[in-house]
Amino acid sequence: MCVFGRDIVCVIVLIFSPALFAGEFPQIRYQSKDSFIKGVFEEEPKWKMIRLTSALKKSSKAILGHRYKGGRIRYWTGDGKTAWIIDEIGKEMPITIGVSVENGVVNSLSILVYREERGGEVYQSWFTNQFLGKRYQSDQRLVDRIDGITGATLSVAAVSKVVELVLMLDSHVGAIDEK
Amino acid sequence: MSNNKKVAIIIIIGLFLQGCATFSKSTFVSADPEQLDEWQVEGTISLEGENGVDGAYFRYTNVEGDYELTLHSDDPVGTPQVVVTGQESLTNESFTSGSDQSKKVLVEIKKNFDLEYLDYWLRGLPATENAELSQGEDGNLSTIREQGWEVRFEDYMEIGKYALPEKMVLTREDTIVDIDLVRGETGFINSPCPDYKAGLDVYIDEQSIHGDTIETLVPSSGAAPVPRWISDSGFCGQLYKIHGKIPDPRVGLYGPDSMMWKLSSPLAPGGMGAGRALLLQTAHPWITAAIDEHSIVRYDPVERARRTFVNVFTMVFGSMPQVMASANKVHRTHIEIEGKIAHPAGAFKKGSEYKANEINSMIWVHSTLWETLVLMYEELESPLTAEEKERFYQETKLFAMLFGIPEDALPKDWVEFLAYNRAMWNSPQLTVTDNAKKLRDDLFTPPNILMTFPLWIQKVVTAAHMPERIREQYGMEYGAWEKFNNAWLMASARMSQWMLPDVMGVSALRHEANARLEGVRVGPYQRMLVRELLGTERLVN
Repeated sequence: MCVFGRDIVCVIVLIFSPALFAGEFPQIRYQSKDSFIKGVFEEEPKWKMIRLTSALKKSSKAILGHRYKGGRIRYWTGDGKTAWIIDEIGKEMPITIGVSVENGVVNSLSILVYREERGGEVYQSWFTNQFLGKRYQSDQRLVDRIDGITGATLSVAAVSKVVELVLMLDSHVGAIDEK
Repeated sequence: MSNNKKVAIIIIIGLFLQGCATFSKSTFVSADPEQLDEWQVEGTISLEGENGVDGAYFRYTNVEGDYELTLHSDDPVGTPQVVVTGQESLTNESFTSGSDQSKKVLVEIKKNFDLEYLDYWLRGLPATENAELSQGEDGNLSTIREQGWEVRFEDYMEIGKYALPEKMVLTREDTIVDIDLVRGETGFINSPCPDYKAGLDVYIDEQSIHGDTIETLVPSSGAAPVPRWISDSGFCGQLYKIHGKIPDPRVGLYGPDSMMWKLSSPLAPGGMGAGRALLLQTAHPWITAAIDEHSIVRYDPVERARRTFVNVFTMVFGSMPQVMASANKVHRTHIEIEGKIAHPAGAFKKGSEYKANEINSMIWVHSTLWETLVLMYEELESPLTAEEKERFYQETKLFAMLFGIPEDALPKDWVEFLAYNRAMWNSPQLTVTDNAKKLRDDLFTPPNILMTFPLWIQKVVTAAHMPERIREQYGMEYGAWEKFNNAWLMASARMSQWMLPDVMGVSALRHEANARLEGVRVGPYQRMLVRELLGTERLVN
């Protein structure tokens, strides 16, 4: 029985299809979570979780412009600092953002994973360095206090919102610790 | 030589020729599962303790804190025999049939676990701050020690943008619990469009209801049709209409008895028709302008085709949550695609506005897919009866609604649909611009030597099946030599499709969808195809 057609197609399917489509959905990992946390703290930090009460949920929504999907947020603490790793949607996909805070000001900011097709420039240090030393100001949005990036408006807004959220949460956990 | 041996030899040769690229390491990094507010996993749970071993199939669903655990012992997708629902500490139990096995498993689960802990562990998360954690090289947790339990995560599965545990072993003193998860959903369980409100401004066009649909879509004057933009609420309204029509979310829009699955399953019709559908789309100046000005894959038509077909396949073969996720993703992407036509092109004047979320142009894109699929299916598989084509066409209306196209804007039946396609082929709405010709060249220019033969096949078959006026505008040759090549290529494809075993001749997505309906994982060969073809571990499983 002639099997020429079948074998040719099998070979085409097996050999050429990966060449046709090889690649994955866009995703750039700039830094692992572990490496970010190790970079923030000199000694092994403790990790904790903050439950989002209805008041915190309301404040988070005001900052993010949408409800935070989740009932709690994990953070790391030590050396008088807190570190947070939070996902926020840029356009379609979440950007994983690491932020650390010391004495109420931003101490470091890193884009850990970028999954959007465009706007990846937000990982560059000239952009992230703008946030260092920034404090939470409830009357002024952070996004209005930094230079944006043409073509990356949504990613810039996502990073700014996360930094603002972290500053708000840090002040909240600081207040709890003081009590 | 037996079929199995032949397939094995071909696979070995294929893997050898592909080298290590076949096993390229995944760069996937999970999004934070803490942010999952609508999710579902299913699989098997087996408890081994002092009372022996008990096991059952289970499904766990959590929608914004309201959870449901169902157990059934006879079939992975069987009717639940035990249902536990609740929110945090409030729990209700109901028993829908008298399965002792499922009840015994529930008793063991309740004896051993706090369901709130299980809710976190099933997502690979610690339940409390007291947990001791170990992390694997991939960044996912490998072990959680909490509440006297050691929870070991032996494998994770990619579901959408999340990595969720696939195999977990829980041990405490003499009790061992094995949890094998086969699939899950990570959103769109409760609402088809949670980011939008379904408004009352769902598109209503008096002309298309009371007048001639084809005249509305293809004005006989040769002018461009009046643009009809799709709003967010109009889009959401259409999704709600579909959402209410589908009885079983696991089956999705269509299912195994549908014409859509029948026509979309064999590889050859869709594969051989892809070039025709894409070039018919880019013959519309709006589509070309949108690709030229907005697409990052302007110079990578294969990647653009892949992204298109990832969404098309998900909508055709996916479960309802997967279908709705894809529809929302496409709508969001389309929102930002708008601009002005830079040069006069056929029916479209210079400076005229275009948007991706517009009914007339979307109907055209939609039509190129299904008219081409029927054409190629009939050539490569078997002729369809008028009744089958009508059934198929009515099914495609659901697909159109996923883009926010209202049913009343579409041609009413298959005959009118064909008349619309013919009218478009001869309308100045289809005008091949210089940019469209560049896209044609990009499509058929092989990026490497391996692609030379497959793209030559696409070029020959596309030219042969293109409407004459459009083929001439693209400047595609179709003489005696091309006719000869098309004849033997189509004959070979027909024979190959007929002779190939289903495992190779039927779309990997259809295999994934079948596995989903059976509540199991698709086999390793199909997984490899999905990974390599579509760049994800699973699409519709």
